[in-house]
Amino acid sequence: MIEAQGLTKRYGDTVAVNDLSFTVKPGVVTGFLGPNGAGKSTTMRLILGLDSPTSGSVTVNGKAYIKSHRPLSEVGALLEAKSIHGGRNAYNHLWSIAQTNGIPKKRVGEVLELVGLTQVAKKRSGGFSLGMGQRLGIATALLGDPSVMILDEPVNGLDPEGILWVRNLLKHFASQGKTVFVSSHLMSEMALTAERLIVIGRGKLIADAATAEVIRLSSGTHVRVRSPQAEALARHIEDGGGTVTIDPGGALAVHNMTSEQVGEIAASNQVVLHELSVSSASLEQAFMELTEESVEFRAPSTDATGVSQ
Amino acid sequence: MIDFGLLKDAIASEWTKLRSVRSTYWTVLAAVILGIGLSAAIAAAAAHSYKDFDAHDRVFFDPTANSMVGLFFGQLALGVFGVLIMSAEYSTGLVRMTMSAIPQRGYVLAAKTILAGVVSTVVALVIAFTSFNIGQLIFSTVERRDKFTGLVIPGDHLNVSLTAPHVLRAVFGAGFYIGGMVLIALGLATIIRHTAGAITAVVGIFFVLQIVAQLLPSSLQHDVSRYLPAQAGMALFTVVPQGSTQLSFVPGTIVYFGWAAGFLLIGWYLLRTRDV
Repeated sequence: MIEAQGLTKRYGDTVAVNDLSFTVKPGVVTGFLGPNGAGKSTTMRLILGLDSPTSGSVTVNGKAYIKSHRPLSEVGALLEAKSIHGGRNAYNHLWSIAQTNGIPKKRVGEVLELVGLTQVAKKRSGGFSLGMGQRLGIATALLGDPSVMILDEPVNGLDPEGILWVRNLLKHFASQGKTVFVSSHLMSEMALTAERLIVIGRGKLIADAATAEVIRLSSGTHVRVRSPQAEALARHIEDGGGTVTIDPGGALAVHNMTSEQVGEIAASNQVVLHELSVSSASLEQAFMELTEESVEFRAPSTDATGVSQ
Repeated sequence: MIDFGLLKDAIASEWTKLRSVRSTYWTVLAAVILGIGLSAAIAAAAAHSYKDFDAHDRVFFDPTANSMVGLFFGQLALGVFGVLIMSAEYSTGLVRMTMSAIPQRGYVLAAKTILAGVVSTVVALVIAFTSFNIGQLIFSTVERRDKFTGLVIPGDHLNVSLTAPHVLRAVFGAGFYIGGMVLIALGLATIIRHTAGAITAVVGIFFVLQIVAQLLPSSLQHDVSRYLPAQAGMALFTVVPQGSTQLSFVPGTIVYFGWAAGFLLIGWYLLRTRDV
């Protein structure tokens, strides 16, 4: 369980994290989403006590991380890929960290096996690819067999097989009742992995809800209807309080109304339907809508030519 | 209350880190080659030019200190060793892993301090004793001259024995002088958190500061420069005091390790209070 209360972090004039309150519960994978510069990594550093908050507080399993003693059996973290000395091999890297927390040597072999790095364990980690670096980072997080896992962009640089492996691993941990808090900028990946989402933008909380809920509330989610009497149907739907747009293929896109309501309107007006379906927004769409106002770095939109009039 | 169990584990971890990177071996090897090689070369040069010394040079000639001059060059390599123990954590980003594994950050610095101090002192003692023995072998070929008349004293040679007053203390002192310098390097690296910056600071404190002190008015010069690390630390390996301005053994040792403790304490304070 991770609990943040009014968490705020200022660097000079910049507010990196602004009055953030949230709870990450055990038993589900919680995704941490936000545009670049939203404060995700800062929040994770605050959780681990690496940075101290300007105000507010954050606790892991009820206590501040910096007060914890030999914390690796409680909390495992992956902060940035390849935060390892390139001249040191994977085995010694893991063993040196295991020693700080009294973790036995055989556990090092176990986690190397678990992440599939046994073959290269004695090679200098400087030659590792980004994907291998991520696997080593995940191995580090697993060393103490922790009940809370905090992972910053764990699938960054992984191939599709690696992404699938991380997804299954995280779901497996959550199913064991562990707390899994994972940040990513890959929305489609989060939609598949995370059951709950915490979305931040410019350091502020934007959404804290179930993933399905975030998608359902997106304006991109709508009811799609095709009918030979499309115009008549559109009028009836609008009379009933829905909003209708007609897509280029001639199908109606109905917002603010469930598929059941649309079906009933069609039936009571004796309109023939060729299709009635719910079209879910992608998490990406939902995310873009949520964070539209809070993107830190944005390229000029393509229609702005920059030519002054 | 000191948690000795945690300190022991932190030392074990730092020891694994230290022996699993090449820079450790390179810096130690460079220190040994530079230290012993240059000590021998400089002792040979001193032995060769002894016959041309004037009375002043003969009075202040210190066969012990003059057999270990190469340590001044070897100390640069060990200074880099002391810096890298901390600065490599920052340059690689490993520091965030280290400090989240041991949230009691002071223990990380304590473990690094103990290891850096012990390893560098042991290496420096090997260099010092080897250099001393080679140097005395060289000096044993040169006949001593009367300090004032410059006449050869038959049967008396330049070399000194470890059993002569203060000689054993000075050879051990040379080892501990290097150990102290490595701790100053570690303290500076903890404060500065950057390899190149910390190495520059070490060189600045041990070499440039002496030169800057010479720009002071002469009335102040000795009062200031005798307390600077490089000058104060000389007391550790001096048998024949070089003039009245040099601190003697006990105050020199206290001032020298006072500097090391000061830099480490500032580093410790900053490490505990700054964001990682």
